[in-house]
Amino acid sequence: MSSSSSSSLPPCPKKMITLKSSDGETFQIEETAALQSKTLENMIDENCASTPIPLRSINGKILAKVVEFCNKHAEVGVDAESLHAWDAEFVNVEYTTLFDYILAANFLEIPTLLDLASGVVGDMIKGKTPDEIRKMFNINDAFSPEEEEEVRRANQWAFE
Amino acid sequence: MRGSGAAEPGLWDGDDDVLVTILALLPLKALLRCKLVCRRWRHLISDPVFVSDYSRRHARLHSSGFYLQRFLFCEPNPSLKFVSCDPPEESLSGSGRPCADSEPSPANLIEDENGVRIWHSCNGLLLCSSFRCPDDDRVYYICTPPTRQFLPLPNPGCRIEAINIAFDPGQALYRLVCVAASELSTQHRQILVCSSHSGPWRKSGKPFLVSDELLLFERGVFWNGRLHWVGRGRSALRFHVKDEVLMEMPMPPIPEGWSERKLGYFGESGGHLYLVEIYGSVTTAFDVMEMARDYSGWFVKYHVNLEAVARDLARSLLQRNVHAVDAYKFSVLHVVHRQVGEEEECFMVLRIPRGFALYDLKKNTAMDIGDSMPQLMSIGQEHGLVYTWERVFQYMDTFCYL
Repeated sequence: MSSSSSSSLPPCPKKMITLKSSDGETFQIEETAALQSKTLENMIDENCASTPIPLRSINGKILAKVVEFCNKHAEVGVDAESLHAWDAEFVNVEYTTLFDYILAANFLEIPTLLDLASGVVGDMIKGKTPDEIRKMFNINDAFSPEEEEEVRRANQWAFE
Repeated sequence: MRGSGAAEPGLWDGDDDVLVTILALLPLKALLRCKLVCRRWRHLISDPVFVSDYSRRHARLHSSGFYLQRFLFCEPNPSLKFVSCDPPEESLSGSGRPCADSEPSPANLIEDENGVRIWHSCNGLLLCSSFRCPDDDRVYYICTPPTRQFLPLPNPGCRIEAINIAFDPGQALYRLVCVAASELSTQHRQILVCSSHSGPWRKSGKPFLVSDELLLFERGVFWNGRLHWVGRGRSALRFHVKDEVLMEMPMPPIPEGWSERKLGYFGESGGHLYLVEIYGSVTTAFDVMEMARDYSGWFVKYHVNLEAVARDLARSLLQRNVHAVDAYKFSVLHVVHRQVGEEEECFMVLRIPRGFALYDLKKNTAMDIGDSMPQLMSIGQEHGLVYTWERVFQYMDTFCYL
């Protein structure tokens, strides 16, 4: 690279690791950002992160977003309020995408992302009736009226 | 591969992991409602591993409220008021917590022709029994209001002095500890235990001598994995519930000139075990003591001075022609720890003539009831004096299948 004899110290080289999505895309991520994933942290600790890490359950589109999330959350000097706003924007997506985030966060063990995405789906569920939830998630396995009555009786408190 | 377009049929078929992750974050009420969605959801929510993970995740350090029990002349059931400890703005937003009116009373849950009273509570589980009946006919129950479940307990087959619940929400396992009469002598007691995973009562250890007849076994306090019993006498006991080991617990000495301990309050709050002793009837200054985790002894956590509260009260009582000395007739009902925003509040609920008062232990000041615990205002003023700390039962939402 450069052979300049500049008097200022060269910045400490950032350690990068490479992730490979299920559809073959590769992504570079700084090690400090990758540490938010417990799965990646373990691989780094065991020196398994020097070659591209294949992530067979995460496609390129989702992995790009996950990397973006980790980078944002590794940034220094971001105040809580603006990070909160950023997070809200990040999960303002179709819920099928949210499921993909949840799956990825679950696989990579990124608690912040997992809680964020699951929380949003949870909020969608919270205010809905069982029927609305079935519609929302295309669930066709409803109870018979007798079964429904039985569950209702056993959990009466929740339906008041 | 999964697309990210519109919902596809059967999207949720494959991945229990995602579903469980989402369900685990729901508040209790929303979660229980989800059992109605389909068989698979019900199955996941009822799974013992899920229940125990959920309980651990949602285990609260702070109680969500307390019951005030009051016995009424000739009524089949005691009167029971539920007071929420959640900060007022939160309870208004209805974040899945039941409000006072919908809080099911054990008397409405348990069908017992003799009425139902509460004896003991621990982290959301209540121990109740038949109310107006001879000892021999009394049936004991364990009950969880959120899931509306109750279970009659097996009969220990001996004279029961008290039954305590020890429930650690983090482990989703409850144990029952019964202090019963012993065949050995009237001076002896026998501990019996039974747990959510093991059937009937069994004896734990040998009968032990109660040198001190004045222990309040029915007010055992669960803290630090142990039940603690204090009383009006010199000694106190602690019982390690898992290891089933009974030991003495150090107590402050009874001051000279007093024949017995004057308990003002004994209970757990926010992960602390507190003790208040108040000697003398017109005393407005006393200490709140806390037990060290290693049981090395009690140390003074807060100095309380209610002089200002009492003076204000005396003034208002005089205006109503009530004797001012009544203003000094207060007693501690409960110690509350709660999170309000970033701050942890710690205050005492006091009963005073014609009502209640709140006293901030950290700031040493009186608090406004309307701002902090408005529900107390709706409880009849005239009933203020019948409540005592022994009739307060701490409560929190717990997801526990009996």
